[in-house]
Parts: sequence; C-alpha cells; structure tokens
Amino acid sequence: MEYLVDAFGDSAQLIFGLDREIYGIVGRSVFFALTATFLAALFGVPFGFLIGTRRFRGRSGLLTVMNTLMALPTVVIGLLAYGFFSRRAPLGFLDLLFSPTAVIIGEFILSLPIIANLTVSAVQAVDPRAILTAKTLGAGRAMTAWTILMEARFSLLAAIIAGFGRAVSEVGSAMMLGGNIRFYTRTMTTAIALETSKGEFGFGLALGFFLLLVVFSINILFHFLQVKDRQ
Amino acid sequence: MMNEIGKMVQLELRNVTHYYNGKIVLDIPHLSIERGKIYGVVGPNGSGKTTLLSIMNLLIRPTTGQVFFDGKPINYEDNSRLDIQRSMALTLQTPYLFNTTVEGNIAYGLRARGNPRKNWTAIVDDALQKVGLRGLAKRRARELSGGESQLVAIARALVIDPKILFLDEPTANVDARHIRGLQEVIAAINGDRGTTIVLTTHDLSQAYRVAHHVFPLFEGRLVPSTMHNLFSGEIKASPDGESHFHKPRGYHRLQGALRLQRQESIRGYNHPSG
Repeated sequence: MEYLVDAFGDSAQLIFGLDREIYGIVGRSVFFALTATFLAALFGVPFGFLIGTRRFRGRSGLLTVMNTLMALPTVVIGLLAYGFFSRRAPLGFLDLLFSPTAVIIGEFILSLPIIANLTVSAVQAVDPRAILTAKTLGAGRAMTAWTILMEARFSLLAAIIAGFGRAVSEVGSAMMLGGNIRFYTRTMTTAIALETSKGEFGFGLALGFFLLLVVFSINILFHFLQVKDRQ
Repeated sequence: MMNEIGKMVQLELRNVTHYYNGKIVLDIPHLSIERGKIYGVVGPNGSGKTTLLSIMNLLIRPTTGQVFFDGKPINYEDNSRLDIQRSMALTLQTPYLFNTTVEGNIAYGLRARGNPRKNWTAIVDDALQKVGLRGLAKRRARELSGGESQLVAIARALVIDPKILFLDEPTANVDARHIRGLQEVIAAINGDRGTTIVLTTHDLSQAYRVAHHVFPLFEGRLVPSTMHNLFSGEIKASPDGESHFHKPRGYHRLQGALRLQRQESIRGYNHPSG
C-alpha cells in the first residue's frame, strides 16, 4: 500500500510541479495523434463516404477487409511499417525510421480503418429522404454529398474521436517506428511502458493520468457538441 | 409551348411506363400539364402517385416514353436536366427537414442556386410569412409539429420560385387544424404567382376543392374521373380489355357547370373571409 501511496505522491509532484519532461511527452503525443487523425480523416471520411453511398462489385468483401483492419494489432502495423522504413527496406532511403514522421504514419494507418468504417456506418444511417430532398431542391452532386456529411456530422465526429483515441493510446507501432527516443519520439504510452519497467511507477502514473485526461476531455467536448446540436 | 387547341403546355408525358422489379407500376399514354393550373392526382396507396411525381420532377427516368418540358424532350444524360429540375420543386409526403434551423432549411435551395447569403434573411422571412409561420426562422427544424414541418417544406420550395410545384400528399401527416390553412396556402401560391401545382392526394373531395383538374390514378393508370362516372355512369369495357368512357348527352354543359363550381371554390380560398 505504501508503494502505491508513494507513487501517487510522486506523480502529483510531477504534475503540479509542471515537470518539463512530462508535459513535453504529453504535448508530443497529442501532436502526433492529432496530425495522424487529421490525415486519416482527410482520407478516411471521403473513402468511407464513397463506400457508404455507392453499390459496386466486391463492396461487401472490401467492408470485411476494413472491419478486419480495425482490429489489427498495433505491433503488426509497426512490424510491417518497419519492414518498409528500415535502412535496407524499399523506403529506407527516406530515412524515416525512429522519427516523428514514422510514428505519425503508424498512427495514421491505425486510425484510417476506424474512421473509414465508422464513416460508412454514419453515412448509411442518414435518412434516404435527405438525399431525395437535396435533389428536389436542385443540389448538384457535390452539394448533395456535403449535405449527407452535414446530416451525419455528429456520427462523423464520433468516428474521428474514435480514430484519435486509437492513435493516442497505441503503443506497439510508436515503440517500433519511433524507437522511444527521449525528447524526440517518446509518447505517453511508450514512456509509461519504459518508466514502469525501470521502476519509476510514479512517472508512469502521472502520464497515465494525462492520458485519461485527454480521453475524458474529448468525450466531454463531444457530449457538449451533441447537446448543443439538440438545442 | 402551345398544343393543338391553344393551351400553354408546360410539362408533357408521352407513352410513359415505369417498371419496378419487373412489374409495371405506371402506364401513362399521355398527360399534359398546363401552365398556371392546379392539378390533383387522386388515388389509393400504391396507385403510382409518387412514381408519377418523381418522373415529372425528373428524379427518376421512366423505363419507356418521353417527358417534355416547354415542348423540349428531357435529356437525362446532360446537365440541362439539372437546370430544368432546378426550375421545379417537390415536397415529400413526409417532408425531411435538415438538421439545422428553419432558416437553414428554407435557404437550402437558394444556396444550391448560388444566391448570395446577404439576401437570404429577407427571402426566408417573406416565405415564412406566406405560409403563416412568421418568426420561426431561428427555431430548430426538428422541433416543429407535422403541420409546421409541411409548411416549412412548402416555404423551402417557394423561395426558389419554381415554375412547377409538386406536392406529394401535402395533408397526409397534417392535423385537421392545419389542413384548411395548407389548402389556402396552395391556392394562394397559384393565385399570386401563377405557379403550376401538381398535388397528389387520396382525398377526392380535397382534390376537387383545390385543383382545376383532377386525375384519378388507379394501378398506375389514369382512369376517367369519378365525377364523370357519377354523372354519366358510362364506362364501357371494349373487347380489347380497355375501359372507354362514353360521353352522355349534355356532357359539355355538365363539365362547364363543374368547372364554374371549382373556380368559385378556389376563389373562396383566395379570399377566405367568406
């Protein structure tokens, strides 16, 4: 019990003492995850929209693959990306391994299927009369598409938040692609894993607190937007 | 575009049929819609009313046959179809209001036509006043009642100043309190703007109250008007299986009397004080 109390004390000291390393790791993690989520949304939302609104051969097969990718272990992503980015690999000349870019790419690959899949569901859940109404009012293809996205905006936001949640909380690919380099590629999750294994439980606990805080903040924001929409 | 008897035909269907899952749902050898008139399409559920409106509104392409607008055949392959479609408006039986404000809904058609945002407020307020919902512009659209939603859908159609307004069962989901007001709005749109209106309903008396011409539709086919049947009692089946209407003596005089009665009824809606 004393061990836990000491750990909580240490973590409080790090948090309220505005420890530079802790806050640096938190900022870096959020930045990596936000960038990866932004890029994944940029590709995933239009891709999900197309799959959700079009009927074509092989669509159900593609959806099955996308569903499978949602549950892909993060270390497998790290492993595959490592295979491309390591020095002797096809993309080795880009010199990306153990860089922030590699971490962002890994997180992008993890978020993309989640955002795309949930976009498919969000778009399919829009009342078909919305499309019909848009057309009867003279909307062209682009405006009709925008209308569908706007009608599904809260489900889309939920999809993007889920993508961010996956990116910010993953550890496998960040560890393999970023190398957990201090002040450079170390994220909250990789730091928690490392510091705890070193016996610095208080440090891990402080980062765990921030990780939870990030996730809670996003959910509160989402709830606030939903309430605002209903008003 | 004048037809052979000098009427201003705005929309025309020739030999139009439509199939759904291999079954014929609409078979209209000929139908012409004159400019500035109100038409009522009457029929039971499943008679093809909505399909007919969707074809007239160019939302769906008929399986066979041709649709003409202002005398020109519709080309479904090029952008001219969208331009023509933008000169019409359709409100659905259960109108869908976008998840935004009443103003956002009504301005939708303006946005689609590139009308500058600074003009929207005045146009929206004017449309709301016409349908009797003044002051509701900032209200969330999803908070409205069925009757109010229908009126907002009509206002949304009105702001784009359509040449033809299609109303699919406009009073189907409206409580009795709002039905009379809605009928007055329909008559006023036609009276003030000369907008051609095609509405569907399963209420024959309502169709006769509101429309200049009533087309009964049954199993996808236009059949002789019930009023005609009532006064003539002469629908005869020929050996080819088709029903043919035989005009009785004094038919034209009777038609004139019915027309006069309808015009008076419509005038009554334009001037509801009586």
